[in-house]
Amino acid sequence: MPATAEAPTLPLRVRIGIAITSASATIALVYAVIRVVQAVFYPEGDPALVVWSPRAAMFWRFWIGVYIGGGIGLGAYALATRAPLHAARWTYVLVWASVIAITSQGILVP
Amino acid sequence: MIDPLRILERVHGNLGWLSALALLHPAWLLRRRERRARLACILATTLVTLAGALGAYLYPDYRVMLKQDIFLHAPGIGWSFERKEHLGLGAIVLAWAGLASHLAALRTKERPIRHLLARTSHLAYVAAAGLALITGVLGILVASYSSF
Repeated sequence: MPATAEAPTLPLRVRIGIAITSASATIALVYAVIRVVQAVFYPEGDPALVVWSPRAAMFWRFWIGVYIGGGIGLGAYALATRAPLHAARWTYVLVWASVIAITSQGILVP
Repeated sequence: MIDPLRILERVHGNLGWLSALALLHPAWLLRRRERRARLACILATTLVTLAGALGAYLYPDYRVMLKQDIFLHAPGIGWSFERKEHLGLGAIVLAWAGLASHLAALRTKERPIRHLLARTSHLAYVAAAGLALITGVLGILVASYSSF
């Protein structure tokens, strides 16, 4: 994809850096959203009554975050190629969203 | 004989606190946009990742051996552990976001993009350090109540 007139094409390592930043932020964001959805729509049994369960929800939330974060990272890489400034701005916004989501979920919806 | 899980738990706790303190370093240094802090970022991110990996290794044994008992007798402590795991994961992935954006910022000459990436990196490390510190405090709270 050719770079737009907005800014020249970024070096490969910068585009990869933007992609990894977006992917990492997405993991926390997705993790928090899934946890809240689970708590609201699919509440678990009382942990005091559950002896054991075969699957740890925390790992599943993380790996779903990695899966979706990978896709978002690819999208961020493509955006960084076409419109670098927009990519950098959106990455900043995404990290803010991620910080707010994981902090509020972690405290309010354990 | 000392349970190996008990030793690993202690290592995990100490690594967690070390990484929380290490994350404060880039969080402080990167408040200036032009600051280069590659080594501080790499070391802090590596430490918090190692602490998290060890925690993930211990987690299945925690679920089998400790979780139900903690929730039966002190649900508040049990929920503190749950909070700790969420916030700890946040600290790790945000540290990675901070490292990636800092390294990217160092590699670009485009001033607006470099500044945006530097702000992103600073934000990510400040948040990672804050989350890691809260995680450390909650970890002490849980470990002082129950242990392997």
